Amino acid sequence: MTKRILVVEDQEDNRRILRDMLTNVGYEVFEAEHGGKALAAATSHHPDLILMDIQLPVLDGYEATRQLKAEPTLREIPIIVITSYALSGDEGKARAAGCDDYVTKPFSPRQLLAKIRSYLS
Amino acid sequence: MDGEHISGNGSDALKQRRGRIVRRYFLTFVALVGGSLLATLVLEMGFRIWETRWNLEVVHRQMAELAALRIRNYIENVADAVRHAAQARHVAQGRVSGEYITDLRDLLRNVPAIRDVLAIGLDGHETMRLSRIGASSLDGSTDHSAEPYFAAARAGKTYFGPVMFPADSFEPRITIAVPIEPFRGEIIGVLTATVNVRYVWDVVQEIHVGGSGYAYVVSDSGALVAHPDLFLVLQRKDFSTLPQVAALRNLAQDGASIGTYENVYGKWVLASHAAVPDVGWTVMVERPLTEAYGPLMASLARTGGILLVACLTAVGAAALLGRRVLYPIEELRRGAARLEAGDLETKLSVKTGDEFEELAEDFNRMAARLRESYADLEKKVEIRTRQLEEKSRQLELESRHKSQFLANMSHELRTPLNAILGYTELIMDGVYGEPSEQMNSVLERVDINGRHLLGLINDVLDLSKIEAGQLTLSLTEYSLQEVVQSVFTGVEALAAGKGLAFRTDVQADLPRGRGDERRIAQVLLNLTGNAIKFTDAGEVTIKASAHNGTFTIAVRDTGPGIDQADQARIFAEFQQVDGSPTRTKGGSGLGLSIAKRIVEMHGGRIWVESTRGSGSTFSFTLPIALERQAAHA
Repeated sequence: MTKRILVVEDQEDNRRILRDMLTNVGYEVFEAEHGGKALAAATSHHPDLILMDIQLPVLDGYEATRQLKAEPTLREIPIIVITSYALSGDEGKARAAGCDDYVTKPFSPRQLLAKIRSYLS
Repeated sequence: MDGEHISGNGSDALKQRRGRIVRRYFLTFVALVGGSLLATLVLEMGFRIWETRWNLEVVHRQMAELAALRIRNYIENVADAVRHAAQARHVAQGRVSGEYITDLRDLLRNVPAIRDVLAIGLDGHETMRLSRIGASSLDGSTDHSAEPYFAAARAGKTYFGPVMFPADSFEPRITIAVPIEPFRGEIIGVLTATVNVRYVWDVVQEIHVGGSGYAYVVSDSGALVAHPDLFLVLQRKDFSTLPQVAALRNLAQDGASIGTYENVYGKWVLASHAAVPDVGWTVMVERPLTEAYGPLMASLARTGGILLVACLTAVGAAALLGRRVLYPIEELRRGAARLEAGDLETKLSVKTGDEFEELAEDFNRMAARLRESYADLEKKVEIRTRQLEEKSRQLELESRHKSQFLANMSHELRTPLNAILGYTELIMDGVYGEPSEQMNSVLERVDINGRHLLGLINDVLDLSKIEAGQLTLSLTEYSLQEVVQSVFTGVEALAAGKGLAFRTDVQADLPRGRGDERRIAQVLLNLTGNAIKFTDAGEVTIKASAHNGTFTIAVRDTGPGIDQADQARIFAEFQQVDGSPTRTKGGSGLGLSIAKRIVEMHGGRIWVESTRGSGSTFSFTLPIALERQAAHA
C-alpha cells in the first residue's frame, strides 16, 4: 500500500524537491501552499505523514500543527517540522506546538528520507 | 572637604597678609603724619624758644639799661650838683673864703642824698666841712693829699668812690670828689661829698620786670648796693660769689648779656645786666625762668596738646582709612576665592562710592559674564550631548536596520541555495535518471561549493542576528561530554582525511551543564574545525574539564601558530591572519567572532595561547549552570 505524505511548503522549489524525492521512492505526495490549506488537505486526503514548513503565509507552521493536533481524527498523523536555520527557539516552539519530530534547514534529502522512513515503516 | 581646607588656609593667609598691609600702611601713615607733626612741634618749639629768648634778652637788657641809665642819671645829678658847688665864687688868696660855706649849705639843702661835704685845700688839708647831721669840726691834722679821690679830683676829674658800709649806719655810701675850680683850669682845691646811695634803692624798687622780675645793683667788687629785698642789703650781702655776678668779671661789657642762673634764693632765673658807668656798678635784672618762659611753655603745651590730638586723630584716621581700604580689598579677595572655588553666584557688595566700588562692580560684571559663559557653555554641551545622543540613537537604529537587513538578506540568499543543494543531491541520487561518472564529479563540486557558500551565509546571518540583538540563547540542560562527542564525530573524518591524530580528553564525571547546547556545539565545532583546517601534521586534542562551577574547554593543535600581534585581532569581525597558508583555507573570518559572542553571552571567556611554529590552544570557559543569559556581548 502506497504511503501518502502531505507537504506543507510555500516555496515551489522546495515543494518540487520534496515531491521528486518522495515520489522517486514510491510515496504518494499531496501539497499545500500554506497553513490555511494544510487542515483541509489533511482532512480530505488523510495522509500517513505531514512535512510542515514553519515559515508559511496565512497560517504559520506552529499554528497549523497545533490545529492538526487539536483535531481528534488527525492527531495520530506524525508531523515532521522543517525549521529554519538559526532561529533560536524554533525547536522548542515546534515541540510545544505538538510536532513529532523536526529537521533543520538546510536538510539533506537523504537524511530527511531516512527520518520519514522511520515513521512510516 | 578639600575646598574647606583650602579656604581655611586662604583665610589664614589673608589674615597674615591683612596684618602686613595694615601694619605697613598704618605705620607708614602714622610715621608720616606723626613725624611731620613732631617735626613741626620741634621746629616750632625751637623757633619759639629762640624767639622768646631773643625777645626776653632785648626786653631784659632794655630794662637793665634803663635802670642803669636812671641810676647813672641820679648819680650824675648828684655829681652835677657837687660840681656846681665846686665852681666856687667865694675865693680869696687861692683858697675858698669863709662865705663858701653858704654854697655848701645850698648843696646840702638841694641834694638830700649828700650826707656831708668837705673842702680840701691844694695842700691836702681840710679847709671847710659841712655835715647834714649836726656840727662838724675840721680835722686839721688829716692830710688828704695821698687819698685816691684827692689825686683824681686834683687832676681835674670827677671821682666816684667805692661803696662803703659805715659802721654807724646801715646805708651804703659813696664818695664823690670834684676839683674846686672858680675858673676853668684854675684848681684851688678838692670838694668831696659823701653820698647816701639809699636813694638808688628807690630806683631799683620801681623797676618791675613782668610779674616777679626784679633788678638789683652790685658794685664792681660784688657788694650789693641796692636790692628790692632790703634785708639783703642791710645784711650787707656779698654777691660776688653769685655765679651771674662772678661771670661779669669774666665778660667783656658787650659779652653775653643774658644767661640762666640760680639766684640768691636758689631759684632758676633769667639774668641780664647793664653797666652803670662812672661808679662801676652793674644793674642785674633777674626774672624767674618759670615766669619768663611761662607763656612760652603754656603756648608750647597748648601746641603740643593740639599736636597730640592731631596725632591721635591721624592714628584714628589711619586705622579707619586702613580698614576702609582693607575691607573692600578683603571683600574682593574673598569674592575671587569664592569664584575660584567655582561659586559663580558670587556677588560683591562694596558700597564705598569710590574706585573700590567700581572695582567690585567690575568684578561682579566679570562674574556675571563668567556665569553667562558658563551657562552658555553648559547649554551648548547639553545641546551637543542631545545631538550626539540623537546621532547615537540614529546610528544604533541604522546599525540595527543594517543587521536586520543582513539577516533578512541571508535568509533570502539561503532559500534558493537550499533549493540548488537539494536538486543537486537529488540528481546525484539518480532521482532524475542515473548521471554519468563525469556529471557526478561535477555535481560533487557544485555540492561542495554550495555548502561552502551556505556556511558563509550562515556566519553572516549569525553575526547579523547577534548584532541586531535577535540572538537569544535557548537554555536547556546538556551533557558536555555528549557535545564533545558529537563534535568529535562530526569532524573525525576530516581529521582522518588529513592524517592527523585526533582525540578527546574529557574529565570523568563531568556534571551536567545548563546552557544553549547547540550554540556551545557550534563554538566547539568552529574551534575544532579551524584546528584541523590549519594543522597539516601532528595532532588535534579537545580537552574538557570542570572546576569551581566552570567548564573549561580547550582545543590544542600542532599547527603553524599565531603571532602575538595577531592573537588579539582574530576574535574581531572580518579578521583573518594574513599569509598564504591561512588565506587558502577560506572561511568567512566570522567564526571566532561569533564564537566569542556566544561564549560571552554565556558569561564565559575565550582566549588563545600560541607561539609561532609550535601550535595553538584555543580555550573557553562556561559557567556550568547558566540561569540567565548574560548581557549581549
